[in-house]
Amino acid sequence: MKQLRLEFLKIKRSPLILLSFLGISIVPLLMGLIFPKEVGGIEGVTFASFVQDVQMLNLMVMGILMFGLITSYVFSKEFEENTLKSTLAIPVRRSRLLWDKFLVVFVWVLSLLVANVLEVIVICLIWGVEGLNLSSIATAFGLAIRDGLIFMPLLTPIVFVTLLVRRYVAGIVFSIGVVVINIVALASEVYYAYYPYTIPLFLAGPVPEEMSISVPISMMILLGTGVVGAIGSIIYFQKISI
Amino acid sequence: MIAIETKNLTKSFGSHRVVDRLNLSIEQGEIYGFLGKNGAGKSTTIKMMTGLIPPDEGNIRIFGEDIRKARQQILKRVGCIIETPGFCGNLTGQENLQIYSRLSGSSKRKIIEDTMEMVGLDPKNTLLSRRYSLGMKQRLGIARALLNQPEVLLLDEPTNGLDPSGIREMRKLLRLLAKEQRMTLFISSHILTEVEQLADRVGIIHNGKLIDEISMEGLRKQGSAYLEIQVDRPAEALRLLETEMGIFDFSVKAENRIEIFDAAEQSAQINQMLVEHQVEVYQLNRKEQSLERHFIELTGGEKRL
Repeated sequence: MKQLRLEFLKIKRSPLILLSFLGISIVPLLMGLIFPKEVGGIEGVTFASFVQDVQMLNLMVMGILMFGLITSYVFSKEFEENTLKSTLAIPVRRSRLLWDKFLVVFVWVLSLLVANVLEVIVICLIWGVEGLNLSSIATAFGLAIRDGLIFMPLLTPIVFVTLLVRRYVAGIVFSIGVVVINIVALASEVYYAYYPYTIPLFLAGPVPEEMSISVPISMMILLGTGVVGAIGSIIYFQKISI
Repeated sequence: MIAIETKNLTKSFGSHRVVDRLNLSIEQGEIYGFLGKNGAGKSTTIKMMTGLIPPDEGNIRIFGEDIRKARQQILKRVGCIIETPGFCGNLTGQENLQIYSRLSGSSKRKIIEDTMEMVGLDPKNTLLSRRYSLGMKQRLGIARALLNQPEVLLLDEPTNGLDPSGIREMRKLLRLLAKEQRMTLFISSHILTEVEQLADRVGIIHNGKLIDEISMEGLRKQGSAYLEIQVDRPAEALRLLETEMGIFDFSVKAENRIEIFDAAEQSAQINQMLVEHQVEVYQLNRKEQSLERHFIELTGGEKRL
């Protein structure tokens, strides 16, 4: 717990905190304030459908970009600021250091998703969208947390790439690459259930009857990606010369 | 008691052997200067001493414990600066030290404040460390190295970026730590005069090999005296030294100064000869052999490496 607090202290005053909240707020902002005017109003939109649309866009594009950015920032910070030599010259285990940083990312990602739901609630209140009640709000928060949990295994490959390149930009490039492949994978009605970074979208949405058999396989791919990324990161970080 | 001991320490990066069978033995409370040109293997040695990189061969013992077997325990007794110290730029100096203090198992604000004051930093300064000058960062780096009240201090270029008064203060502090707290100091530095004024003993590393180890007292005893003259026409003075007196062992310094070796007993004759040839002699001093001269003899290097 103490080390975790220290990891949070390291990102204190970081401009990326504000930027990440602004970044993640773009999707509901655009959908709620601009798109309805373009498509003829907010009629027919419910709180639940709004939440689901925002969630889909997050899982497909915005979330990946923001979460990738955060992950690469947290894991490259010590390389970029040249503090790792000093940190590792203190009796602290390298694997513990990685774990604490990952927890920081986890809390940060969840905070963004929760803030996203709060923003949707505010927009729905402004527009008087139907279906806004305690039960639907609780469901929306539950879904946000579930999305966060589903997403975490997918961040470990970004951790590995960041440690490998030791630069902030590595995770960003990786995330952009993931988004591009996402778009391609989504064009297929089958492959998107097996490509790791579209699996959250597959699991979050209503699963077609003929694809229900793919759910356990998708979950295994998702977890496998997380485990491979985590083990690769730990082994690599243990071995690298600083 | 031996504080730091390395035996046949060897490290290669690819086919390049950076540290080659390095044997060191440093007593507790000793100030050991570690000299070498860029790329000689100084920082790599310090990194191996802190377990940041593993040696290919040989071993390192700190207070008798092998760094590979008891790294966590050893690091509790070691403080270090390795290369340019880095900090979280979004935090103040004190916040940065809080991180390392807590990681080391202590969180007493008083220790942090006292350490900052010890190195000449104001603990109440709210300036973010990214706005620190190089000298301030260096002081903060030394403060960080001292936080856990170490018994061994490994310092890579500790006076880098400090102004002359800062260097003097730091020298005073390091001497005090060695003397009063029996702290063992292992200092690698480019500035030979700095090491000369601080170290009890120096080791010279060249192409990864320890080519000489000498105590400063021994160097002074062993050192032959030389003459330092300042003249108006150094080129003419050099020609005259060669042709009139057969002296060829000299070096030319800035501000028309010439160091003449193995001729300390001929100072009067040199002076007279130069004056007779209308070379104006502004200064003529007899000096003792310096670490710089010793270093150059061994490595053919420059003063600032």
